[in-house]
Amino acid sequence: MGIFSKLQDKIKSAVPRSVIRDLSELLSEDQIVLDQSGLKAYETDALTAIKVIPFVVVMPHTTEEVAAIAAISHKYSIPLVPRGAGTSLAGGAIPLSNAIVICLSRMNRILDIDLTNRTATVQAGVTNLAISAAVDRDGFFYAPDPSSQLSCTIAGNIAMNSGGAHCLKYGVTTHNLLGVKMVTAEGEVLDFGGPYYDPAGYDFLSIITGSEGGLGIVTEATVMLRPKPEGARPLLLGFDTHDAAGDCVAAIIAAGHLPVAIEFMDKPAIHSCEKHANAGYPLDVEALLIIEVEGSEEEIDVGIQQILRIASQFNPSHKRVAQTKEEAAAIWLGRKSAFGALGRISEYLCMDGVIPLSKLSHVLAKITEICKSYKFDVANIFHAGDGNLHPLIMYDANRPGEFERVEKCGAEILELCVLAGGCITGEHGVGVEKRELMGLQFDETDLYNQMRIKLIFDPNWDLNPDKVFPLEIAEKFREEEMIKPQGDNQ
Amino acid sequence: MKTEFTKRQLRNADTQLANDIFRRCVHCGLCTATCSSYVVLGDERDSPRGRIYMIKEMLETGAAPDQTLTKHMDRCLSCFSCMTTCPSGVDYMHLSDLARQEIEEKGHRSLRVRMMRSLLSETLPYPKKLAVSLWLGKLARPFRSLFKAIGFKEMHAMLELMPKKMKRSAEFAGGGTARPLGQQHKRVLLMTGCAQKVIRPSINDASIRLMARQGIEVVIPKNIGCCGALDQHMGREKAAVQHALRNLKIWQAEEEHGPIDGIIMNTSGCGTTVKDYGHLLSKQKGIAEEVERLTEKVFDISEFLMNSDLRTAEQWTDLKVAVHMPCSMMHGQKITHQPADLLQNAGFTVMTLDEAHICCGSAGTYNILQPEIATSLGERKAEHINRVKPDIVATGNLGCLTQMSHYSSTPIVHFIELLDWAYGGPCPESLEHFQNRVDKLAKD
Amino acid sequence: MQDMLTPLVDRDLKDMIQDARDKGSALEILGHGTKRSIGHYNEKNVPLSMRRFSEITFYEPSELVISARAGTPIVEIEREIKGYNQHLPFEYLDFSSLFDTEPGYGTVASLFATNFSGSRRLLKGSARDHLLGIKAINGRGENFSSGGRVMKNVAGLDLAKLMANSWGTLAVMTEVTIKLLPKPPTECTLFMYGLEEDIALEALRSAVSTPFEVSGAVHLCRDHAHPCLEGVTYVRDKAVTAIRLENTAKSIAYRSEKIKDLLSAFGDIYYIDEPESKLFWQNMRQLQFLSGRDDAVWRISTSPQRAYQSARQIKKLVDSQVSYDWGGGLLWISTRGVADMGSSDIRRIIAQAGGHASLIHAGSEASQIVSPFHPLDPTHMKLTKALKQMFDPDSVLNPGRMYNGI
Repeated sequence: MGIFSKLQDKIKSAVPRSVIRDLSELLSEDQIVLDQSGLKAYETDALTAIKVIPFVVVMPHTTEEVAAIAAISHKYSIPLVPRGAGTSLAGGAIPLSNAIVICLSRMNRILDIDLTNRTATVQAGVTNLAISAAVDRDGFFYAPDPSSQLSCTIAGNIAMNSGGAHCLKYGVTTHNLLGVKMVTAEGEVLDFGGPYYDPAGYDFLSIITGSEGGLGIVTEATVMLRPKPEGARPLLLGFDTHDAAGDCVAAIIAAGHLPVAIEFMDKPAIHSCEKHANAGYPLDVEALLIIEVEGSEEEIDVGIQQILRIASQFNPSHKRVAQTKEEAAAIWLGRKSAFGALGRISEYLCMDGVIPLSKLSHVLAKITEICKSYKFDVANIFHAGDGNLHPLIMYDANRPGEFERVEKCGAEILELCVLAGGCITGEHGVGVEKRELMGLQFDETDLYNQMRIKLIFDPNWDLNPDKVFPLEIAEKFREEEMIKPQGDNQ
Repeated sequence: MKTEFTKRQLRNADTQLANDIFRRCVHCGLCTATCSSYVVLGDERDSPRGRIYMIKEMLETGAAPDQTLTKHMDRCLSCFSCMTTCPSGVDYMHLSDLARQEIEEKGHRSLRVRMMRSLLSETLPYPKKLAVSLWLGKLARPFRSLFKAIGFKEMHAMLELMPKKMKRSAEFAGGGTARPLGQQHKRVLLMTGCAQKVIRPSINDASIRLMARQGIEVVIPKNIGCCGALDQHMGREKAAVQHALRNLKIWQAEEEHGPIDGIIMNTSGCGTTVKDYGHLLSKQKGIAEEVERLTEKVFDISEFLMNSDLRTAEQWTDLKVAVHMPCSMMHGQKITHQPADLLQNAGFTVMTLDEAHICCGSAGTYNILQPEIATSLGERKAEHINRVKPDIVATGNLGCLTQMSHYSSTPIVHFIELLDWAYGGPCPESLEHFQNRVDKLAKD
Repeated sequence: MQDMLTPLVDRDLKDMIQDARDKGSALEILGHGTKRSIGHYNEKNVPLSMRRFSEITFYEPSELVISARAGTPIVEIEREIKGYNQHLPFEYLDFSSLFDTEPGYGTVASLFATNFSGSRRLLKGSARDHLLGIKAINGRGENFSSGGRVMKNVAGLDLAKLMANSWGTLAVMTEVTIKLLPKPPTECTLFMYGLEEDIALEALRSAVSTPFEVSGAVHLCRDHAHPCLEGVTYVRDKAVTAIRLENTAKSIAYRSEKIKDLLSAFGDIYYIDEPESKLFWQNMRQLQFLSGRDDAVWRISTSPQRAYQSARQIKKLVDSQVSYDWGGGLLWISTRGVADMGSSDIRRIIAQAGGHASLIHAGSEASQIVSPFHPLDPTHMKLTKALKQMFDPDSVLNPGRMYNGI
């Protein structure tokens, strides 16, 4: 964490009290958090190893308020850190000590549902699952389904370009987003896209999605709705080795089947998830695949038969098809609560590397090896269909020095993923957690080309400024290419 | 989560318990979405995760609870929806009890709030005092807006929620034994609820009739008092313990007259506390086993009836009943389907409400102490009821019943009143206009 | 026309870019030139074709991923993946019949630089959605890359997808990595003839709202339908509404019955079997319905909800024929004999409805008077210019192709 504390020292310049005066003129008392014990609650997100108490937290209700807050941040050139539900596993919402944290959780209204266009327009703080819930009775759903979908917000999903188990078929956020309303660093309100496909001109949505709050603050989003499948049924396949499970996944895809989801869990994960969900996972297998097939009853039967036929080459020791809706729900509940359920055993660092499918068995073995060398236990839960791994490295957070060791172990695993032809993050984003690892995947020119875009939207580098880019490279870049702020700042 | 307690701090049993709870929490934030106060307020500090974090800070630093913590703990409804959601099994209930106790002992509340809390704690658990207060309240009711005008919003809320007319007292109000019809299968004790007895005696009447008709002897112990839930939720542990100890003694005394198959709760808020007497009394020496033996006999009436092979219903109806599960049942006791199953078996068409996991805002005395948030939740629940348009809403707790009746025009009843009706009892008072949609079934 | 530059490796390309910067000249970035007549033609730009960057560099069928250098002919990619029963799912448009060029040409990078997706876009997404990674050289002569060969990748800003629809004005792609999908085992199409436009759109809306994975939902007006139905049906003098299903034989048999039931109130429904169905959608993809005529052709993306009203307004003011794709979200309009090809009316109406109108083909009229791409509002133009400035500060890459100054 050396680098992080270094940054903290550098920016601990005093924030003028007039910032608070300006904010108080704009917002009511219950929209501002100023007291230390209240601010403390906002010092971290789902990456609790890193925490910084922010300068102030504000909770706007409207786009206009967001714009006015951005204008205040711009006026004083102090960092603005957006936060949704604070579920980021990469530390995407971790504040800076001189930052205004802008919390969008109160902007939680669904503005419009248009079933002819098959779109929903919602405010930033609407949760992912709330969108699907709102159109469920009409037979539609919003496809990306991060495991935290119950609580994570749509704007957070856009910031991180979130995926989920069912993305194998339906794509991630960037494939399901049609438009956004976004407030720029200077407080200007911009609209991109709308309830139609492929907007005119440059594809700004493609860079806004996944920009981790660095280009602007999304206050509204228009997303694609899809008709719900007639039915869906998960199938459980247990194997005695990780290899067999991995090879089975590759074989299914290679045979031209694209089930809606293929999920993998290893033994420690199976056991803790079972405790929470009572899903009837087999407890005596080394690896478990959850494979979901969609369609009419008959189509599902055919799909499952085909998959079972392929799987039989790999000698699964357990086979079970969910028979009822409740059973299916329990199977998914277990999988979706996996990260939390592991908390029953230990603290952990959750990785998010992606690898080419053909390297699955090899990489899994390597991960075990790496963790062993650090004497950490590891649980593996991941989206096997698209090679998105989530090794959870378990460690004792109360032991001094352990976090630094677990970070190193994680970095080795991500390096392994990149060397295998993959990447360091598939759906959680870079945040503060992986920004120093960006160099594994990108050279300086690549990063410069990305940072130049940030500069267009955020000329003072105020928006979530310490995320995504390696700090030293970002600083060098700013020295070389940033237009120095004019003297009119206070 | 990482914690920062010294070894010395951990020697305290409460702190050790809290530490174990914190270590389980991974701060994932899933709980926020299903938290009844967070969905309304959208502030991390009003979410379970935020509260856990603030409690941790308080305990780690050893500081007295400050205003922030007090305010946000007071806004917690204790619906424990978070505990159903939490994948890590974080015991928020016992952690919040600890925090409330700290606040009660060391914290600062305004005089007005303290007054109101004392008033509730001194009247609600005592049926006689409650009856007198209700009569006084009736006199004060016309002046309720006055209280609001002077900023005494809690008093205003209380007067608003009070029943507009007094009910006749129930058949076994002072205790007694209802003999079973036909052959006796079982013998149970019925806890009749303090406020319930006064405000809606028909719930107890229906419970007794229904069970007696199914061959169950129902004993209503004479001097049974409050279960202690109210004091416990207000952080008054000592008073709660006293209530619990007294009830244990009464149960033991009743056992001397014959074996008991169940201690039946028909007000689920109390049920959660009574089932958890083991924890409440954990500091009392030498009674742990006895407490465990007795609390294992505690059942919500829906659980007990599900295991009692009810005879077939005596009438047919097409009435649509939406089931609102009280948080104390769903989250506190993990009773999820029994009331719905019972109603379905009795011939009703059962409907589910959206956002079923969110509290209606009643939450014990919450709708009096936190009227604004309770109103938002009450209106939210009413909207969900409106969306599915049931004929009747059935619930399992007097508090929910009172709260929802205030916001929804749909008749709200205790499910036991509907069951009693279906199995041959009288039509519940508020449902007389549905009489024409019910056919008596010929008996076999 | 000036001599064509044809770099072979990155070094050549960088030198050419540097040379242009030094001279203060500019380059016209081309593949095979199949879409050269779309957008502004700037005769001052020196043509540079990427056609010699031609090689499939990586193909892993079990991962559904292929990489190829920018100038690789599309047909070569298709030939390669056909053997594994895979395809490019976004059904890219083929303009050869519209522009009267030789069919089967076109380079792989152009698919993404122009992002013209066909009927299946409705279900499977656009070309852009299938672009996993790129290598490119920007106007500063810098090599950069973004994305990779895995499906999920959220590290940093997605510069790969930013290249989509940028028409070579930000950077020259040198290599692309594409996500493929397994080819559906078989297909069928349901036809309805002679429906009124609003009825047809309602039928399409119903069909695409079902869970049956409709992968094509078009309504062709009578004029447009005629050439598309050649070899498909005998009925050729009526408007046609077509709904495509792709899946296993069993599945489409079941699903087509379901949709027939659902749409029976709209009129008679005809089942078109695989061979004719394939032919029909190939005709669609090749824009046969617009070819062989002198009309100006507009391609308009808008919300299905507003499509009908907008089309009606346009038809009132402009002599035009309208067809619909994407279940109503895409309008193809051919106009005839209007001074500005209907530009001002069409764009005003579409701007009100939300969406944008591109002039794909100017017909016999001169295109230079009408901006081929929908004009951007001042805020977007400002951002567009800033982006261009960051990637290509000296404006050497395709300047003017999209917009004046871009």
